[in-house]
Amino acid sequence: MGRKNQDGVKKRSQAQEVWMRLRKNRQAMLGLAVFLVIAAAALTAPLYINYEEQVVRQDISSRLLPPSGEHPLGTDSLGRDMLARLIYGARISITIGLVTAISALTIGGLIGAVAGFYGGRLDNIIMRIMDIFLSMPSILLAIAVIAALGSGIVNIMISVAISYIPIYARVIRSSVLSIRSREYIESARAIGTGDLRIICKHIIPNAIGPVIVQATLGVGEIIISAAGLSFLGLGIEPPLPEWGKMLSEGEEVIRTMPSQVVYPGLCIMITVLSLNLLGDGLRDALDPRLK
Amino acid sequence: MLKYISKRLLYMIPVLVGIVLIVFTIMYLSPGNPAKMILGERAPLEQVEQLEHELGLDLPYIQQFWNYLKGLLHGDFGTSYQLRMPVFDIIRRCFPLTLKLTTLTMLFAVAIGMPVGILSAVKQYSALDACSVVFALLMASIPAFWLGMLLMLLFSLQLGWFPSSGYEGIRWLILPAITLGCINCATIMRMTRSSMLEVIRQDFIRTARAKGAAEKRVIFRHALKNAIIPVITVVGNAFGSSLGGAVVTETVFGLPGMGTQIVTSIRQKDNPVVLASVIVIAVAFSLVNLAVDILYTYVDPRIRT
Repeated sequence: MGRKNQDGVKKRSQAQEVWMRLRKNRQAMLGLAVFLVIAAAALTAPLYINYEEQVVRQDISSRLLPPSGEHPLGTDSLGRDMLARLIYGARISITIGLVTAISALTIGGLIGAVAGFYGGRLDNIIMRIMDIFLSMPSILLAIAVIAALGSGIVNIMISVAISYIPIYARVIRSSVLSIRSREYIESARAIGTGDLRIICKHIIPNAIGPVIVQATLGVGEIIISAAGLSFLGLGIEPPLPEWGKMLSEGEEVIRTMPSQVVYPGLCIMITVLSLNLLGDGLRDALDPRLK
Repeated sequence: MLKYISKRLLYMIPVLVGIVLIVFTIMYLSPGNPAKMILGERAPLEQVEQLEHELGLDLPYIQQFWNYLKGLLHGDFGTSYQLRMPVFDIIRRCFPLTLKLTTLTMLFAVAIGMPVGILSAVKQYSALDACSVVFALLMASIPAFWLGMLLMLLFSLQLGWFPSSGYEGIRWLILPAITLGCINCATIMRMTRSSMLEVIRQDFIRTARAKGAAEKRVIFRHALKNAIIPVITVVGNAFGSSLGGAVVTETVFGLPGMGTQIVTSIRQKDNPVVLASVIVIAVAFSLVNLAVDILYTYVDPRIRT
């Protein structure tokens, strides 16, 4: 295991091995495919949807229309095309999910890696601080931060990221701790390799497995948390078509037009489900013993 | 044992002070002038300064924090900017409902999650097992507030079995508790199943079976007892996440608990209420975690050191 990392060729073959195992996992492949379709639809949305006309412009005369040729999923309570808004919603939710997960992972990863690598008193101090953050339910921490920052899409990302940093820091720390005492780290040190190089070249590549799994599952959780914040009216400003925001707008007409709350929720569920399938598959692929 | 508990209690003190420090700092850094908020934007400067002085808002940050902490120890949570009443009274009014909801949620989640988790481990690859895996996966992918809306659509708006919003008694809590319970029961189910599966494959279970112990005894006395530790951890975490989840779910069902209060107070920039509510929930979560840690030592005497 340990030596694989010494040269680039074998390391790549490990990634290939994981991919081979992942490809055999039908659920994971389904998850990946669904996610890619959603991501592609979201990415190319400006090519086939007129943002100003279909997503933003309000038209009271065509409010809450049933599905038709022009509006495949009908219109919302302000007369905007449901399908177009849902597709643009994917752009927002996936962006929030990815950006937040990556930034929380980077910061949390650094904190956790430093704590795990240096150990001792520094580790103790850092982890006690993380413990304090972890002793608040994460959505509550995010709510407190967004209460202070005010609403806005960037503030949603910051607030959710802050609540995830300690979680990632803990995962990475324990991952690093288990690697730190391996022989290849010792030998790297024996030949005089610097700390930074050891962390970047040896520890991170070997500790990354569980982290990737956590991150994949994390993107889904973050999409749900962010939707929750904007559902509460704490995140997104109109007219941005965010799924959580659409749910709270749909809630007002839940008695007369239940479809208004069904579609956005379904979008969240399918997206997060695809990520969860992929994440579970990755976990099995990275650690075949678990199967 | 007593020594262990008191050690844990002592350890809680810095964590609690830390929580207060973090939340206080977040609120301190939030933009907006509370005195202006109370008096209105057009209030004369002298009046604003006068009020700032009365509220102690002109003091340095450290001093303000120290005063707040001292107040907390005396049960003084400050005064609400909007309602002009002690924050303590607001929390005393809202917190019991949130606690009731969370307790009901956990009862539901544990009562369904653990037995189903055990059964699907014992009967791995059965129809029940497959269903529970799918259910757990679905629940991990659904936002609680959306599930709440769907249940509300079906059970209160369509079938009329439960009231859809407000709070007049326990019946108003059933749908919200099922909502949060479903989400949390999925994690409990998953953990019970995987933990049981791991234990069931071990040698001592084969030994127990070989010596002729009844299957029931093998499962409950031998396997479950060894598999329960990670499950307790998950239950503890689930308690915390349902305290947090209650914030969003209460809003869906219009329950006048802590969550609804926090959201209202954030909209009104009523910082003392937000601050105190977050602290109270975090403290409740810490106490649950403490209880979980103490429970460990009962289940697994090896931890008691």
